[in-house]
Amino acid sequence: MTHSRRGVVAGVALAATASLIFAGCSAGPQSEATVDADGPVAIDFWYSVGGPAADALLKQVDAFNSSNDVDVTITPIFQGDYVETTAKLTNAVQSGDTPVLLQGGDTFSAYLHDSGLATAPEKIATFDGEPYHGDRVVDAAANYYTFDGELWAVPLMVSQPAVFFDAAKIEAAGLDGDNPPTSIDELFDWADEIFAATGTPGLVFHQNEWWNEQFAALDNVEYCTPDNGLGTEPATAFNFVNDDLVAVWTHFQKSLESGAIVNVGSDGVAAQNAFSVGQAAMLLASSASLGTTTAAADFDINAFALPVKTDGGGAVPGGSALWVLGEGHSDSEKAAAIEFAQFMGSSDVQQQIFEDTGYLPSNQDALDELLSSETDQPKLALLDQLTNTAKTPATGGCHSGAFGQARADVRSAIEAIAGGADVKAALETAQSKGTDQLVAYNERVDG
Amino acid sequence: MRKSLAHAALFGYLAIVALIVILPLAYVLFGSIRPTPAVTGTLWDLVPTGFTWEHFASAFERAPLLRQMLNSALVVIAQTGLQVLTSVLAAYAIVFGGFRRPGLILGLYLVTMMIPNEATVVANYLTIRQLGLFDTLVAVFIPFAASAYSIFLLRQSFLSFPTEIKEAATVDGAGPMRFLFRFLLPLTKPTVMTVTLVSAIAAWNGYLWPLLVTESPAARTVQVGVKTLFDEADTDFGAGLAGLIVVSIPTIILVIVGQRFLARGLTEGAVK
Repeated sequence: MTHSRRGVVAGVALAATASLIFAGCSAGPQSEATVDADGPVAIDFWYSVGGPAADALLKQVDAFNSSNDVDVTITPIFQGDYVETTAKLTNAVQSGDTPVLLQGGDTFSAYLHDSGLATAPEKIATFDGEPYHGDRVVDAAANYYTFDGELWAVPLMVSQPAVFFDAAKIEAAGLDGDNPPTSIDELFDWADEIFAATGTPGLVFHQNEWWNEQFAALDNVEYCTPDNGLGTEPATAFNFVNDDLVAVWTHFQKSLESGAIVNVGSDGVAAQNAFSVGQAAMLLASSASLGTTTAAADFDINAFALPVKTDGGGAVPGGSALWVLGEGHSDSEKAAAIEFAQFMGSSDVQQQIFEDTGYLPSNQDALDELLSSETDQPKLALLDQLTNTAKTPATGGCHSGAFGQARADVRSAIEAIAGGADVKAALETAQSKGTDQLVAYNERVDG
Repeated sequence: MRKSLAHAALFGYLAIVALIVILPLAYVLFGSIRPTPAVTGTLWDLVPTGFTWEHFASAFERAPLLRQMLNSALVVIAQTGLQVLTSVLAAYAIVFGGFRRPGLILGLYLVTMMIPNEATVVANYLTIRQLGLFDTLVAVFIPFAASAYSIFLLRQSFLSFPTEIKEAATVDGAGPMRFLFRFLLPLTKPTVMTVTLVSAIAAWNGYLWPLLVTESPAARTVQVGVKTLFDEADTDFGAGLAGLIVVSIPTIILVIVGQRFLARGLTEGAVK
């Protein structure tokens, strides 16, 4: 049942990629002007998080609705996960009923940007005439949503992968969390050493394409070229296969086989659970999972940043962002959307979201304040990592509307590697299939 | 002695199979009443560590589940009622309507099963929008008012209906409607019940379509409501599991009530 449902959703999303791009018209830049705030404005906001994350988000929506002085009311509407929301957006485009505000998942950024539905926040005329400025958005967080030097969405709930660990277990192997490894290869060495010294596997993470992207970014490699799709030209090819990455995955394969890395398959929750119950000393996971992992573990969780091997490299911050889909909406609706975006991106709100959920702050003032007030080791490590992440094309992550489809091939490659396949051949096959997807997508967009 | 050994072996085998079948449900049930963290992903989750209604409380707090269950119930009644009615009439016409090429008509129905949902979903969405039915319960069930699969099942059942009874009814002066409702349906009740159950369960479990054509929490069905209890980045499933328990109760009741119909022979007792 789940599979068939996923199949339908994936199919709809696939159809979405094509039709949304054809249906969308280009959103022209607007002059910086004042929009009259003469009367109530009610706008829809499509969101895609559930559970406690939704509680935190809706709390802020309520706060905005009751506090804003321009009579704006935001109607939050849950539209399923990010894939389902995209599918629904496609339908809405056909009937001209798109929302003004949309919470977009990180990997959908290029797709939303290319659709022509979105308007860059800084180009939208506001109620008070003061245009939105993205200058207080944390550099590394803005990076993901900056196309050709322009910020296209306001980062809303930021997450970044990190290494979580049980200090007692790594100390038992004579290792010190205050002197973390300096490369992923060295991290895998740690896993081997912990396993050899204690008999407990050293590391666990799920087999997912996301890690391939992170490992490449840590080495300052642009995952797709040119410029990870963030420059003036769209990405035309994947370019992640190199000797270092092949060596990392070969090491992974060896450690997985020896038992130093726990094999949980492609299930991220299983990886977190394995760590929480003490089946592994270290966990590679998103910062967003810190809260629930901490609640589940009966030991103190510590964290260090993903090891950056090459200057300019770093973990890619992702999560979700607030997109203003200006196409087809009035100036006052767009101005109302910007009011909300400003509120959600503000220091207070971002700090509150961090406290409530563990999503990292996207506002620089919030980040600075939390860095000086936070005392919890893993939280501080995550905040430090975000602060130290360089704003380079590599840490911006690959951007292409075909990225979602291409990722599936990398996932298959990683699963094949875990099963003992030839590392270089598997990665090269995924890279070449992915490049074909990019080329086909670019041809469709050029029409 | 040998007989009792075989009996014990059979009993043991059935017990193991029953355990395997019940395990996922038990896992969800225990997870929903265990204090946080609800699950760790191991079989230890089946060992009680305490008891709490907290997850149920937060599930009902996050989504108007009772209202949405009522919506789902209305959708199930309307969708199933319409689907069974249209299917019975269509299958009757195909089998007893005296058409020259009934197989061709059935084929046309079956062709609709070969068009994937992805291909029709946008067109259906636009139709619902144009009819002004968006964000209403009618939008949720109206595209499923007819079902080729149900027509096919009923047609197969009607085909094997004993001709003696048909002829006897005709001789006694029964018209088409009387024959359909007084003879055919009562005697093919197991198939009709099967079609009803399959249709009802599908209506209750519908997710993507209700998500697409509704927006306000009050117009949504419970499956969509339950989805709001889960999040990709969250591993504390307590509230989500509680929600799953709540929504699976009606399905379980439906199957328990309806299973005797599923097990019966097609024309059992019709001909002496």
